[in-house]
Amino acid sequence: MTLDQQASTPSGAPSDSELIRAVASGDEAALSELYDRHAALILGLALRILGRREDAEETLQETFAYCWQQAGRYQADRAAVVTWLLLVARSRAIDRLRSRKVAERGQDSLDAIEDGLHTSSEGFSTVLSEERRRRVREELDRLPEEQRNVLEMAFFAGLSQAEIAAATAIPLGTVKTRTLLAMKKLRSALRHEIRELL
Amino acid sequence: MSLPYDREDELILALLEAKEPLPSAEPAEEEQVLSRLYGEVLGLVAQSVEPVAPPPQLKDALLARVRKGAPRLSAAPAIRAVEKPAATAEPPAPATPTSALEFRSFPLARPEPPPTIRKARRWPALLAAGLALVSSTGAAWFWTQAQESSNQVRLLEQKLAAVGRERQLAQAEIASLREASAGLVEKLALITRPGAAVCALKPPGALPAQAQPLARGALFVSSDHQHWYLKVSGLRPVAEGRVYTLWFMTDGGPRPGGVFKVEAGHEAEIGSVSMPSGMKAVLITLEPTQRATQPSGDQVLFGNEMLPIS
Repeated sequence: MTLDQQASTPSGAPSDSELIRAVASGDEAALSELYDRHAALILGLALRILGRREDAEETLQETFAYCWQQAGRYQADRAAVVTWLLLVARSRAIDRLRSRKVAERGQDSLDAIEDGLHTSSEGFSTVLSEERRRRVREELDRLPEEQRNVLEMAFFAGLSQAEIAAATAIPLGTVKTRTLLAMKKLRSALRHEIRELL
Repeated sequence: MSLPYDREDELILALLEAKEPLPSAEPAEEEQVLSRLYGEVLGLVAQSVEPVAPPPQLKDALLARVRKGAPRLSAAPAIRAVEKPAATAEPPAPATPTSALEFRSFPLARPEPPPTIRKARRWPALLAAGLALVSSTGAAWFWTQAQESSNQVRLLEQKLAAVGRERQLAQAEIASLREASAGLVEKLALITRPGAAVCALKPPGALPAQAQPLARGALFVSSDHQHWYLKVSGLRPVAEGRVYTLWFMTDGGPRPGGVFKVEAGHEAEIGSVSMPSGMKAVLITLEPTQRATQPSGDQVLFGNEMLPIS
């Protein structure tokens, strides 16, 4: 399966959009199919944010429970299904992170997670999703370090711009400028990948 | 896009700090496209993480949780609400009738009235049969019409969705072109502004065996000594994990300016709006990691002479 299946797939498998509509009408099988397609990615994201497997698995469950309840509110013109699910997961994970008050979790633990937990994804990734991940990672790496850092702090740690400024002792205006530059560069550099999602 | 600079920036920061995955308020039409584009950027950033296979029992637990009956806000068919067991978060059922199931099934359970004995007449039966025939024919006709209408509506919805997707693609393309154009204008402004300077980069004097003698580069620096733009050519692509790193050499030591990779036969460009003060020279090295804090890899390009452009 590819990560995004907005459009109908050549193999005849239902697209993500068709699945989410089916979920909205109460189709459990559709929810199960969406889970099979995207659970590994969502668990990876939750683990990156939370650092604890148990919490990440809870977040994964919450995300799909939310999907089951709120699928009727999904709007295809606002985000791809995979984007919607990932942003739901991110939102839930950050809520959990804040409630856990583990602000002291540092870059070292993030690295440890990256290095140690990426061996079990066989069978869930495909060439296409790997290629997309490689492209996004490449573009993130291309960003100047200071821009990449603020973006990752905002996205993966859920810190506000003011919190990043306080944590790094960098003026708020500079933090905002770096974040905005990073986002605009990514939007430009990843335009082909974005087109695939539209 | 044509949004004022500040509005676009506000939109990006709002998306990053949004509590909900998608803003609930309907944005203005011209903001919708930008909101979508930057939302997808965030989704792609999320996709940069490695997937992790969940244990199989997690899916079973999820489906069991779903079957238990979390309340649904979507427009599920009424029959589902009846069939599902009472959910914990649903409002309490009224005292009488005791449950929706009983209430809805009441008409079916109602006993038939006792048959009355009347003297039979033939013509009412014939009339009733005729009426039944007419009404069933009418119902069949209406059903066919309804099906056709439904099919037409579905086709129109599909066409509308396709048109919407095309429109979004076109708008994304326009946004990309505008952005590219803005980037060019920005670079042109940087190098034509009074006081702008350029530093030519060449391979360092003592060339090691793995040197890249054809590599060349130019660092353009704006008059504010903050905005800069680097363009390099002739560099070889590097193996996975290795990156070219730009260093600003200052009195306080080397300061990293960014990392980049190159594709075979392509030039590379990077730029930023900040530069450390007191920059004396520029160095590009090939580092084994993107997080190098000191230049330790092969020195590829070097320059230490800033020349005014105009």
